[in-house]
Amino acid sequence: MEPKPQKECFASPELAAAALKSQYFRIAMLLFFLQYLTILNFVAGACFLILRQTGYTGTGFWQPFLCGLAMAIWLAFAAARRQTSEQRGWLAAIDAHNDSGGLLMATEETGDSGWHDRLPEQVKIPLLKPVAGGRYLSVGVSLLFLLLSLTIPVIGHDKRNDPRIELQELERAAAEQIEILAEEGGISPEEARQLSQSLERISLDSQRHDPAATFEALDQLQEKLKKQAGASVVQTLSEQNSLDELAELAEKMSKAAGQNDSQITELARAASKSLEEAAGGAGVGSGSEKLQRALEKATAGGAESAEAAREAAEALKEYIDAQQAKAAAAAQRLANARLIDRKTFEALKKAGKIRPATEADLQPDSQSELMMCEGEGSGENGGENGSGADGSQNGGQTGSGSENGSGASGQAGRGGGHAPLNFNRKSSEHNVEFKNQVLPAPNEQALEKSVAIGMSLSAPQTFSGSDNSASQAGSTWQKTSEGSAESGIILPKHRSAVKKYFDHEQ
Amino acid sequence: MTEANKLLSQPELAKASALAQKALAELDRVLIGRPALHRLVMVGILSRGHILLEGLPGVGKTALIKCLGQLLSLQFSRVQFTPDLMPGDILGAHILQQNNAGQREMVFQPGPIFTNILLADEINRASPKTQSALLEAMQEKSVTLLGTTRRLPLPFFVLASQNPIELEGTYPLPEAQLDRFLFKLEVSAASTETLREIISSRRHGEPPAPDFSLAAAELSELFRVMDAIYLPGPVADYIARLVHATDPSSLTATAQIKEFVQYGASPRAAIAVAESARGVALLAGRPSVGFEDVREVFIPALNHRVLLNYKARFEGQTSAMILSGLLNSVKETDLDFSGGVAMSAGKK
Repeated sequence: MEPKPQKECFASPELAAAALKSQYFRIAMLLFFLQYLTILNFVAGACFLILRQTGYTGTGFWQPFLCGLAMAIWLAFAAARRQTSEQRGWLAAIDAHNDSGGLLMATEETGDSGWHDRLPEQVKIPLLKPVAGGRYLSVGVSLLFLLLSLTIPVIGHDKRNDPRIELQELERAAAEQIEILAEEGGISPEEARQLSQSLERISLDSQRHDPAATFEALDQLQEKLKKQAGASVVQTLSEQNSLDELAELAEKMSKAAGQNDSQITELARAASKSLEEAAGGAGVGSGSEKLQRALEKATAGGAESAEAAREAAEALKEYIDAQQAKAAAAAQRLANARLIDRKTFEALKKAGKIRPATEADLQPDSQSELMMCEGEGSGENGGENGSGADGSQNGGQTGSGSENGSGASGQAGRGGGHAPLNFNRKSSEHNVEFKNQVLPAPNEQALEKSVAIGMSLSAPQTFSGSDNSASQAGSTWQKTSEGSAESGIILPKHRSAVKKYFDHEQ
Repeated sequence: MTEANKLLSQPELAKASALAQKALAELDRVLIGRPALHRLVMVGILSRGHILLEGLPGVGKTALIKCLGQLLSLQFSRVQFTPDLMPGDILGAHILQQNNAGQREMVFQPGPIFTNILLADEINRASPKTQSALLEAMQEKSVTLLGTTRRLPLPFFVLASQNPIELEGTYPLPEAQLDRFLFKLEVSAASTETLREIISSRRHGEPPAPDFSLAAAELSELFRVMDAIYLPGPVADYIARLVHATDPSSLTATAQIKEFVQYGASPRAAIAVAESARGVALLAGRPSVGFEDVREVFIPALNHRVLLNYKARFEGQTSAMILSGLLNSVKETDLDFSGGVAMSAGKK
């Protein structure tokens, strides 16, 4: 039985050389791959780290890394193939491994086949093994670096590269206004959602290099909110009128109690009607059960009608007070959110719900709740500065109108006037020049007659035309003016040191 | 396939190899106990190189050389080198003689160097001037006197011996002359078995006369076959890399070489290694030189050509130790394993 050929034995030197070459290629490729993987890990880690530090918030790091990995494999393949093809010592290695005494090489080089019978029947090849301890360590360190670059927290987010405008404050204020308006019934929840989406879109689409469009959009949004708030306040005012009528009816009912049953009945019917109208139109409640029962008794008339009228009058007053308090609270929230304009503010003030702030209210220990409302710019009338007087009085920000009354150049997003905004990038001070001021003529004659007698550290003295004698000028040259930094006799600053030096005993 | 690249035929090589082996066996028979030394001496002879034997007195240096002279059937001369030996005593001199016509003329009287085998006994006892008289003869196989160059008979071998002790009154061989010796072989003390055999079989220490001797024609045939031994390119490259690595300023020099070697081997050393490796291949009956042949002759061929520095002397480093380390570090093939690929040594 023939011995089974070993795995590393081959029938001819050529086959053995090919096998050795293949073995070398695999190992070389592994080593090159480890080397390139290390480089890839470090480069990718550095890039990811830089991207994260510069504000990139995406998660698509693995796609480019996998591309780099494929490239590293390809490069390792190419480099290993090149290195393998450059090697020339395959047969020599096999010859040395088989102790052939150079016969394999000599036969190959000379092509002489006379010694073939002396060649080994089974050509063995040496076993190659990778020595890549350092490379494995490098790959490990680079992988660690890559993982760290993806996981370590971002230290400093440089926002300079963010193209968007920082609108956090304005966004927060607008979102708060939308929320308050929705809570107070000025807009429906669906409208509130749409407005919130608009606000978000404005923020996302904002461009640092072109802020005008963003601020204009924000102004439009705020204008819309204010209109909705105004409509809500008008509705509140109409309710207020209805409540005033009810209050009048309640007063009449109170006076008519015990005097005229028919009048009580009539007043009670009118009050019920007004109450229903108020409840149906504004969606407010139609009063308590106690009020309903009292009104029904008063309407029914009879012996208890006087007592019922008094009860109805009291219930009506309670109801009116509750509704007025509710409306005042809503108006106050809208005003605090700067959603009501000056007209509305005036209307509410006339209704007695808001009063102007006094000195006492501005004291630190005052318990009064101050609210601010926008002033109304007077740019339409072409005021020189166009400041809203009442608005500034109540803490509102003023809008400035131009002299020709062509429109105010209000500051976007900062409570500008109601005049249309001017985005033509020309300031209101365009073509404005400083006023020339004529300075007094110098005393040339005095300068011609003057004689230099010394120098002073003080500023030069000027003399009037009648007082230009040289002697006087000479007597005052040592004395400096009041505003000069130096005064009196000029002495060396180190006088004491000099004095000590000369007083010192030799 | 050209004639120059053709390998020796098997019968041709077998005949030459058998002849060399027979001579070697005869040498082993006459001189007991040093087959390795005899093998290297035979390799040196086949390589037509000069050999320097170094050893203590009485270890058989002179006996070996004398036996070799008898074995080769060549003209043999012996010169005992002494401090007062003059170059003319070796090379010869012009003497005034009267010719048949009664006229007197200067006639050249050849010295003992005009021979095939010159035994230079205790060569380090002669003065540098006399030692230098051998330089031309050893390298160019000729002698120049008074402007006249005379060829020496071929083959010409200088087989020298020197004593490493008794250094008083000796003159170390200059590097130039050491470089001309193919091998410097250490003749060590004999083993107990060898001594017992010598005592029991040799009366008065006289070795028996060889029963066999190589005729001049046979020796010439051996030299012809030697010249036809093929040296493959990778083996030549291996020799070149080994010799180059002995230079401490070379990039491939080992740390040991850089630390202890002052001057590396010369190109003549590479030639010596290649030629002597051919001799080993001939003795092995192979038509080509292998890496193992180079390894066998590398240390004997280079140990006297590598000049060590003072540091090596202080630390007890010898040329043989350093060259042995170099043989272990330089790979036989020029496969680039620097990229982290290692060849397993134990998988043969």
